[in-house]
Amino acid sequence: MNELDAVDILLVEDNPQDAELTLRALKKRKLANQLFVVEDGAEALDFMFCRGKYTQREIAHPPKVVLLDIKLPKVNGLEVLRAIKTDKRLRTIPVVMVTSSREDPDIQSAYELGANSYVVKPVDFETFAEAMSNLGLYWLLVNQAPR
Amino acid sequence: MVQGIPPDILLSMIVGAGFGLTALYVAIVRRNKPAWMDGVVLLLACTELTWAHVLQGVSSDIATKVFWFKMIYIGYTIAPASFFCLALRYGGLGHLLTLRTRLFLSVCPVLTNGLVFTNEFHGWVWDPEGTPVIANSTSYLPVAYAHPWHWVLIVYSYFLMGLGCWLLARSLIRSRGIYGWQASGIVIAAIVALLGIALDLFGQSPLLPFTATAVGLAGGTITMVFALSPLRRRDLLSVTRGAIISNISDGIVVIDEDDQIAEMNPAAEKLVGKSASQVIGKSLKQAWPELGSIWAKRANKSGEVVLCHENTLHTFDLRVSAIRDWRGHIASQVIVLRDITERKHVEEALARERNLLRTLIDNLRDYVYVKDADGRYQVNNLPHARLLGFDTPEQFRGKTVFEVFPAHLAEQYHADDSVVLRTGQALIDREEPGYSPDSNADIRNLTTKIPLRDDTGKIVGLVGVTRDITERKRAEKALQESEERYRMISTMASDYMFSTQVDAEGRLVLNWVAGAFDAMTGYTFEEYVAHGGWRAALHPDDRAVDDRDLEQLRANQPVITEVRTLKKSGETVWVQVYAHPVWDAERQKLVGIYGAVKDITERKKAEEALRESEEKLRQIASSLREVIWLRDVQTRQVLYVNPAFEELTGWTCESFYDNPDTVIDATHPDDKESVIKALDQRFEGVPFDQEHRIVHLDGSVRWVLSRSVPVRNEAGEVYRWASIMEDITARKRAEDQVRKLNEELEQRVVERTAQLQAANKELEAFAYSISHDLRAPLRAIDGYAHILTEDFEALLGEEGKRVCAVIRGNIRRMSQLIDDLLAFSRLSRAELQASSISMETLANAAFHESTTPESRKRIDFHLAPLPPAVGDPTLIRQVWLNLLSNAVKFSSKRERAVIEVGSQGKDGEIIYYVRDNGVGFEMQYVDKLFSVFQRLHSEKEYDGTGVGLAIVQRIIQRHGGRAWADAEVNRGATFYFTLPRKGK
Repeated sequence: MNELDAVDILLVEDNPQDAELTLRALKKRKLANQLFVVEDGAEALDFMFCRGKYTQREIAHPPKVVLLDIKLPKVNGLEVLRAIKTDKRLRTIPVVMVTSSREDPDIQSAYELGANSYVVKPVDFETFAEAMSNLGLYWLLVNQAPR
Repeated sequence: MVQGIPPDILLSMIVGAGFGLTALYVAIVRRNKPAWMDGVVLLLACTELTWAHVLQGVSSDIATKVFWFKMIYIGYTIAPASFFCLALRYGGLGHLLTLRTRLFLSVCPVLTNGLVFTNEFHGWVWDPEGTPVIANSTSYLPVAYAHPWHWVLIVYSYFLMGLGCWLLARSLIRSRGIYGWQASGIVIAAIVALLGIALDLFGQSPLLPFTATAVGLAGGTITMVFALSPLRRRDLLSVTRGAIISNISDGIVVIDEDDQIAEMNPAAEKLVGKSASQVIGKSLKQAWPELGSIWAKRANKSGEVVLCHENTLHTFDLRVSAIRDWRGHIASQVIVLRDITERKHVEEALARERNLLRTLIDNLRDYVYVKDADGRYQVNNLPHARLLGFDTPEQFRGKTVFEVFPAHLAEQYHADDSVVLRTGQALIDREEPGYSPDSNADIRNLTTKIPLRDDTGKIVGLVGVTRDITERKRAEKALQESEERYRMISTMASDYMFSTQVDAEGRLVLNWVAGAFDAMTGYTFEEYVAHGGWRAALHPDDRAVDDRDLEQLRANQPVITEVRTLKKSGETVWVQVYAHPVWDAERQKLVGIYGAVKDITERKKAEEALRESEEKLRQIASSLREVIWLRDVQTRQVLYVNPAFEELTGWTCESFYDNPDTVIDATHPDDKESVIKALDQRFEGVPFDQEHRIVHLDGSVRWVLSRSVPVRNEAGEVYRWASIMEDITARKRAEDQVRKLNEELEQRVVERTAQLQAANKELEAFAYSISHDLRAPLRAIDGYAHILTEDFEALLGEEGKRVCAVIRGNIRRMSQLIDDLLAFSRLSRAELQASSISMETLANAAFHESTTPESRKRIDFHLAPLPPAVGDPTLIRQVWLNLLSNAVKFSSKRERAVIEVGSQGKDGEIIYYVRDNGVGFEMQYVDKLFSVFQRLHSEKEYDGTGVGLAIVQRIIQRHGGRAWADAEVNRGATFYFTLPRKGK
């Protein structure tokens, strides 16, 4: 098993700073080891569906949780969400929308498409860091992942 | 004692006694006859004077003798007077015997006696010295001693007695027969007495020792006795008989044994027409042939005979009596003929009357009866007898009511009878129950009972007449009912019948009316006639009609007419008159009219109203521009169409009546099918309401709105269609224009909306962008600043850390600003979703959201019960959140923050408020409070973007409410807002 298959958290984030900050927060909680970052929706889909660049991956080894931003280039987060949640193999994977959009329609659509959680990224770093680490803690340690 | 009495005294005694006794006898026997009283007085006077004379004779002493001598004068003076009175009466002059006469006559006696008893003092009657003479004499005063008054008395006495005798003699001459003898007897008696007295007076008495007076008186008395005694009667008998036979009206013929006439009385003389002397001695047959032949024929001689007398036939009752001699052989026969013609007539008349009466009463229908004083039936008529089951009235006789009638009836009848018989009051027209053999029948009788009286007025019975009035009663009752019915009919009927007669002058006179005459005319019959009758009550305008009708009647044609009449009150009444002439065929003229008059005012009014109503409708219908028509469902015939039809379709109304399909034919071909289908749907209850085109006769096309409504009859069935057709061509045109305009507008609106929507969308996207895109860099800045402080802590130093802190602070602020701006802009776009909100819950939640458990420890939060409101929950939540976070924020510097949330009801609206005891603000800046980004405190004192209250106000305003605030520096602030009751 290659290291791509041992990914626990897939972070789909186009903003590198946000990505870095998220990483930093998770590092603090020692959850950063198995974090993988993709920068746009298409790549996220490739990763999840083990195609494109990630054909070596095995679909049977999905990440434990996907942290998905909504505003993404190429394919936006909701599309990715739909793709994941409509696929038989992948739909059981917890997908947490992590986004700066507080817009109701987005929240609504996300849940309708099957998002497991929706978190708004706070501006304040401390709060942000805490939210991220909480997320990681919860979804990796507390939550019982499906098989 | 007798021996000592001189003989004349004795005689006087006897005579006197005789006088006295006779007087007594007469007085007693004839006490009822005052005429005899004079005789009695005379006798008493004679008694007195005789006895005085006696007593004078027997008395011994002078004084007594003188006394008794004087006493004689009493009788002596009274006797002539009373004799005179007797003679007056006997002579038929009794009427002269008045009290005055008697008084006059008694003057002398009274005077005389007065003078006699006082003679000693004056000596006018006799010489007082002559007393011894008197004493010795046994009789009267000798002439020598008589003094003047004595002679007065003598004259008086003789005068009266003489006059009396003359009167009696006169009557003697006048009266014949028996009474003549009586009169002569009395006269002789008087003369004898007077003679005796005269003789004595002059002392020439030949009868010594008897005094002439006494003898005279005695003789006179005896004569009178004879005259008046019954002994005379015996002699009178033959006289009487003779008188009887002469005077009797019956004819008496005495025949001897040889049938020869021996005697005939004057009446018989008249019958036979011959005198007695002519017939005596002749045989009956010879002298009286008529009677003789009958006499000879008859065996039984007595009986009725018819003889001719004075040229008429009379009936005689013949009686024969035989006179037998001492041997018993018939010596003679006495035939008595009594004219019984009268009697016969009377008898026959009586018999006829009786028969008549009998026939009459027996043939009456009424029951006639006579009862006696005991209530027993004496006479009955045949019907009465038959009613009670007897064959003849005679069987009835002597029975009482109880024997004949049932007990209850008999009781009543008997009671009535008793009253009549006892009181003598007639019982008139008593209604009583009657008898009938059929016990179920209810018979009523009318009875009259009248008492019968005899000559003395005593009630001897009663006459009764009883009439069976059962039928009459029934008829009366039926009549009453009939009248009642008639009266009821009269009051309910609106007609009356009449009969008119044509009088001698050819005028019509109302004869009788029956029915509701009074109600219809207002007059009584009399008033009507007096007012002038039919013609007078007729409305003036209808006179011509009436004249025409009368012409018709005079031509023996009945008339039915409608005219107006005037009631008494002046009201006009329409009447329908049916009049039938009464025609005299002989004289070919009208003699009367009979008919009926009916009040048709109501009908006429109704007709008038109907006409008016029809006229109104016609006017309305004709003036309409819309076409209306009425069609019969069954026949499809058009019952009515208004003139507007012609205008609209070009066809005439007539053509529509003729051809009911005209209107369908006129329908535009393209619309015909749908119209017909819609018309058919009427029968399913779908109302016909179509816009379609029709083709006018001139070819032009018109748009019309056709409607058809069902008309139901009383049974609820549809029997007619009422249709309307309106020319809507102009309207249609207008409608088209409007539609076009509308379409254009619609188009514009759509475009505009699209534009707006696009704009909105842009705005949304913009807001979204901002929120997302602006935040990301901010996050980065903040994050890296944090990295700086964390990782490069040693390098930065204190100042460096402070700078980073500032950087981070500003980042936070900017973030807040962005959030607020976004929220603010969203407000304008968002749609209000109104629903009922629990303000309490929202306020409470907002408070908890604005505070940490820590901060809540030092806050006294008072939440009063809040009434619910209507609004958008999200937005109102925002309001509470903003207000409460403000309250918390600005009271955070207090040791103990007090925050109050409550509501007030004022002027019909609810004001919610949030009060804090924070720092407050100056009221002069209150206007700026709700502006965007306006703050009344510096960032240093309290952070915040200044948008919160602006948001609150925007939200409240969108709900249609108001928001305001009130504060005092350092005391606190209260923020109020209202929400309208119903949603915006």
